[in-house]
Amino acid sequence: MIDELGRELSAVGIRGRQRERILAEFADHLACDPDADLGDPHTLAAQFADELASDGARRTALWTFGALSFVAVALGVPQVSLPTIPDIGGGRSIVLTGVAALALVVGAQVAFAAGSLALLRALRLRHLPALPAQEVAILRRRVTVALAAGAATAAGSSLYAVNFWNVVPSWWATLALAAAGVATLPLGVAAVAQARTSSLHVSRDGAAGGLRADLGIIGRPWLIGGAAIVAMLVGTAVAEGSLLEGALRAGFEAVAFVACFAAFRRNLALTD
Amino acid sequence: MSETLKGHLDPLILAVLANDPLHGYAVIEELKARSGGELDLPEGTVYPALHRLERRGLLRSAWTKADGRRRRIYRLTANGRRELDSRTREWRTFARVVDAVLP
Repeated sequence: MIDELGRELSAVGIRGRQRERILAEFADHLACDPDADLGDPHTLAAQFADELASDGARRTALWTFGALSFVAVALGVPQVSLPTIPDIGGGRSIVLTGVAALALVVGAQVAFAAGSLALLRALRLRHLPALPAQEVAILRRRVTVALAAGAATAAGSSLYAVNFWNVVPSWWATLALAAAGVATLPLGVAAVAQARTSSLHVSRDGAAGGLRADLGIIGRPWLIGGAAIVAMLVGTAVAEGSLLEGALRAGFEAVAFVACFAAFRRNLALTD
Repeated sequence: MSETLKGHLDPLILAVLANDPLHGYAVIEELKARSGGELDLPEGTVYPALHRLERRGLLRSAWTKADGRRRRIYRLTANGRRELDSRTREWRTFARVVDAVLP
């Protein structure tokens, strides 16, 4: 029984101290009662793996959201403390400027959306001891996208500082690079946690919904995208005092939304 | 009956551990004894529940030695006691309501 349970635990990805602990407890149980009916080792290993993976996926989603909040503050400080925004063509390369801006603007929005969706699903399913494999897969994919987008945003911030090194004050460029470096630390911690729990194999059956399962009636991608585009149009038009500027940024937002929807529809489980 | 009881396994384990710290085998024996033998489930299924309750902070556990073997002893935490009180109140209300309606 113990040998077979050990093999089954390894097969579902439970290794190290966790595996050792389970086997020691079962060995102690059998020593107390050699005829005990402990159940089928395959089923037991699957139950342990399902519960550990579900807890791990939920916890990683919470950590990821916390890490992204830290990243937002860390990268936001240099952005708001920049004395004067340099001209778009004033950097080393206009291509680098474009890449940095794209990473900063789109990366931040994707990270926020993916991190929030992961958090929402983790909170919504917090009372279930074990989640279906599909739910765990969605949580893992949302966390992966959020972490990658968070890292891209930090990289974009560094690239921006390097690109405009000769134009912005040196203290600001140093601050921006340091902030980007600090921001990657919690992302790295969350990524390690994600890698650890991802090795667990989940076997529980069951369906998983898309965005509507998380947000109810407003959980329609086009509704949310439309609201973001209108908010960009109105917000920019009011802030900049220019309807044309608002329309330009809203247009960029619309293109970015469509591109991101196409790229992440499956990974973020945006549709049912 | 046994299936219904399985659905309430978590509070039953908390109740068994309310007074004394116990190891897995003793928890199962106590569950069997208190349920008059009605809780007849594969004994191994109690361990995932013990681990789950510990991850939720309702139990804590530590290794001891018994007859040269390593033995994991579980005890209730303060959060576990609050959870047990809450689940007990819920159950008493539920049982009173059902009792009042059933003939």
